[in-house]
Amino acid sequence: MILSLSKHPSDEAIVEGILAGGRKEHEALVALYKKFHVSLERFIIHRSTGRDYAKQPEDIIWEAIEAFVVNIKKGTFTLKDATLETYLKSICKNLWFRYISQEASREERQNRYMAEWDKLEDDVSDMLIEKENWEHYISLVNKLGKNCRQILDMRLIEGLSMQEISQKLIANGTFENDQTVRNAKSKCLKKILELITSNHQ
Amino acid sequence: MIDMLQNQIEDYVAGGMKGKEKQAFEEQIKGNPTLQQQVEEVKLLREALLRAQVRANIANARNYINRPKRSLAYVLGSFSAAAAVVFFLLSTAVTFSPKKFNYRGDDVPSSVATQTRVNDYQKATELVEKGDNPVEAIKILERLKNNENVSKNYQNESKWMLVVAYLQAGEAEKAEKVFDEVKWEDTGRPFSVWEITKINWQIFWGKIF
Repeated sequence: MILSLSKHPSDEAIVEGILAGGRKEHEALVALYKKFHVSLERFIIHRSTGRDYAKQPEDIIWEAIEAFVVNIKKGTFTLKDATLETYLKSICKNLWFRYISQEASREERQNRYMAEWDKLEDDVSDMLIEKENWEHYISLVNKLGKNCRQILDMRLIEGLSMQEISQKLIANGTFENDQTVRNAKSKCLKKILELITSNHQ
Repeated sequence: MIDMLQNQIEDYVAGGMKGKEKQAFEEQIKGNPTLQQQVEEVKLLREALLRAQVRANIANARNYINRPKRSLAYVLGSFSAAAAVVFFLLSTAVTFSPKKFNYRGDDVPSSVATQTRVNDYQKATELVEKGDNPVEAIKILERLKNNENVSKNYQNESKWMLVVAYLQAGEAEKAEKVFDEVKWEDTGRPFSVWEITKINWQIFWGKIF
C-alpha cells in the first residue's frame, strides 16, 4: 500500500484523513497507530503491575484509537482540545486502569487502583461507560444484511438522498429500480428500529 | 405523508438539513413528543451504525498492521533458493536435437565414403548423447567438422556436438574456441536459447575450475 500521508503526518492530516473516510481513513488509522504506538505502549507498560493480563497494551491502544475516531466523527473532539498524543494517552490510561481494576481482587482494588481511578478524567470516564452501553447496539446493526447495512450507512452516515442511493445501487446491479430500493430501506429501518427500541425501553 | 416525515427525520439526523428548514424542523420536534422520540431513535441508530463502521475500519487497520511481513532474511532466502535452482539447472547436461544425417536424401544410394561419414556422424551423435565417451566423440567430430565432403550444415552440426563433447571431457577452453566459431553461423542451432545459456555458463565455470 502506498501511503498518501507523509511518513510523519501531522495531527491535522490524520484527523482530516479520518474524516475523509474510505481509503484515506484507512491510511490515517495506520499512520496514527505507527506514529503513537511506541509511546502509548511505553505509557501503558509504565502503569502496569507486572501481572499477566488477557488484554495486552496493544488491545488497549486499538480500543483507544476506536474511541478517539468515534469522537472525531461525532465532532466531540477537535484539535483545539488537546494534541492527539495527550488525548490518546488519556484514553489509554482510563481504559487500562479500568481494565486492571476489574481484573484485580477487591483488596488490591482498594489498595492500589481506586486511588488512581479517582484521578481519572471525568469526561473520558463517561465516554468509556457510554462505550459499554453501545456494545449491544453495535451487535444489533452487525446482524443486518449486507444490502440493509449499505443502504442505512449511505442514508444516515454519508447523508445521501434516496435518489442518490437508488442511482448507485441500480448502477452496480444490487437493485432493479428506485421503488425496490425505497422498499428495502423502509423494511430495514423498521426492522432495526424495532430491535433497538425493544431493548431501549 | 409518513414517508415524507420519515425522510425529514433522516435528513435531519444525517446532517442534511440546513438553515431555515432545520430551524423549522427543530421547532416541530419541540412541540411533538412522538416526533422527538422518533428522532432520538434514528439518532441512536445512526450512532450505532457509525460505531459499527468505525470498529470494522479499526479491525481492518489492525489486520493490515499485523499482516505477516516478509523480512529481509525471507526475501534473501527466497532469492538464494531461486538462484540455487537456476544454477543447478544451468549445470545439468546440455541436451540437443542434432539433424539426422540425410546428405543426399533417403532414396539416393550413397557411396562407401559417404556411408562411412554417415556412420561416423551417427556414432558421434550417440556418443555425445550418452556422454560416456567424449574422447572418442571428439576424435570423430574433429574429422567431420573440417571434412570438405561434408555439407556446411553437417559440418556445423558436428561443431555444435563437438562443443558439448569438449564440455563433457572437461576441456572448456577448446569448447569455447569451437563455440565461438560456430555460434555466428547461419545454418541454425540444434539447441534452444536455454541450452545455449547452459553452454555459456558451463564454459565460463569450466575455465575457472
